[in-house]
Amino acid sequence: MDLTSVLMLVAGILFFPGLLTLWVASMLSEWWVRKMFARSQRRMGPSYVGPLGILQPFADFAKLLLVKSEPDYRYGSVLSARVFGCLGLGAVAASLFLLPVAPFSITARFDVILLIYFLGVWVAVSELLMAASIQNPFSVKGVSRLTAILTVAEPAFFTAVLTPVYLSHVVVGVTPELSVSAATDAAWYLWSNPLTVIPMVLALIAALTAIQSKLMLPPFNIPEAEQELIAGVATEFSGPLLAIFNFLHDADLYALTLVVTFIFLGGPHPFSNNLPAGVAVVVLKYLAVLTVITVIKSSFGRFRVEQGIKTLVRYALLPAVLAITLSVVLTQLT
Amino acid sequence: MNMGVINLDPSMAALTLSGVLALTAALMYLIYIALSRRAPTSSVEYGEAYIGGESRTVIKSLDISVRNLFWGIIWGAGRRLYLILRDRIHNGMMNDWSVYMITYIGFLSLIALVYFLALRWVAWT
Repeated sequence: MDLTSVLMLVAGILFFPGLLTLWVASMLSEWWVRKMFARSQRRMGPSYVGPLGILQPFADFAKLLLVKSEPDYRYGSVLSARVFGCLGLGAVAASLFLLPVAPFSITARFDVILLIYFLGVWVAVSELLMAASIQNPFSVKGVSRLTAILTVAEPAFFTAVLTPVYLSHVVVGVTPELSVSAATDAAWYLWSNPLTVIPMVLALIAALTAIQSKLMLPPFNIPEAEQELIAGVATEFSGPLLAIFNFLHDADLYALTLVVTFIFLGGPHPFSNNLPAGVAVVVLKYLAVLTVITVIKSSFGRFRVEQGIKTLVRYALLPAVLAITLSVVLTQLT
Repeated sequence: MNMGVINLDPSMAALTLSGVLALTAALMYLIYIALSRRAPTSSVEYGEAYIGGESRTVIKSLDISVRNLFWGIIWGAGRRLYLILRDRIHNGMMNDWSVYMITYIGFLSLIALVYFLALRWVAWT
């Protein structure tokens, strides 16, 4: 890479799609989910800070980080919690460079594996180890439940993501092969082709179900199980540590929703990425996906662990495996 | 939005993104250290773990033991599988165990043989 590329990469890390944009977009996503969730329950939701309460998540974050003190735990390592929280955020930021959202995005052959590595393995492991750093029976129980859920959710999500990426290369012939950026260009064609639409529907259902569980949203909120496990994985977090944990959770929500927006819904299609209309289309599709996630969240009660895993196998893992199998079979037959 | 897509080879892409991860994490850590407030280390309130409002004495140990964690996950996530394994396979009879192991290893060997022959066949054609 030449000097200009390196400078653009550093600017990307600092501003867009890096830390600053990640923070703003994550907080706005949290506001959207909170507002929509509250309206579905006939509550007002965030209302006081900023117009329609849009600045409430920013205020919450600032208060936790700047006003509240970092706890001093006798049992557990605050340093370890801090480090894993920051590593998780770094992994989310790194995965965003693979999407064609960045002014400087990176593409490579088989880069979907890098997306799996950064957005799946790193973020999940960071969340788990951050929660396990501060020891408490409730948080350890929450970690064990989250581990059980993620064991099914992670393979399901990434098998689902693999489906459009695989089809875009084999059916449409986009290059580089199995690349996230290239798959975005072909996503819309896959929805208009009667042969590929069935695996796409199955993969989308699987991806949305898996996202719900990866983010511990109802009905898969058993790892944080409010009132049963206090706050589960987040029981011992307060002040700045809670700010980082919430930020990591919101950043994960932002990145996963963006992955669905681009890989499944084609990002700015039918416009180009560089046009204002393209940006508007991306925002609209993003909000639509976020709304679906919120509607699922507000429609279900909490499942028990085994119910959650059974549901995940039925509506995430099986459709995902079926989608990729169908894709392979269809492309081999035709 | 996206003005330039840089096409790298897979190993270089992995290296670059690992660099992005490390730099972002370091930056976030610095911001955290610069902005957050530390608690006084003598704080009693934060020194104790919160155990449902109860004192430390209500539990034998603060941690769930590794064994209990393991069985918690197994019983929570794979109860049916565990019961099948326990009832069908682990019945305490040496003869059954031998038959099971021979069948299982035979099955794996068969898969390996089919895979090997398929590869040879593909190479031959």
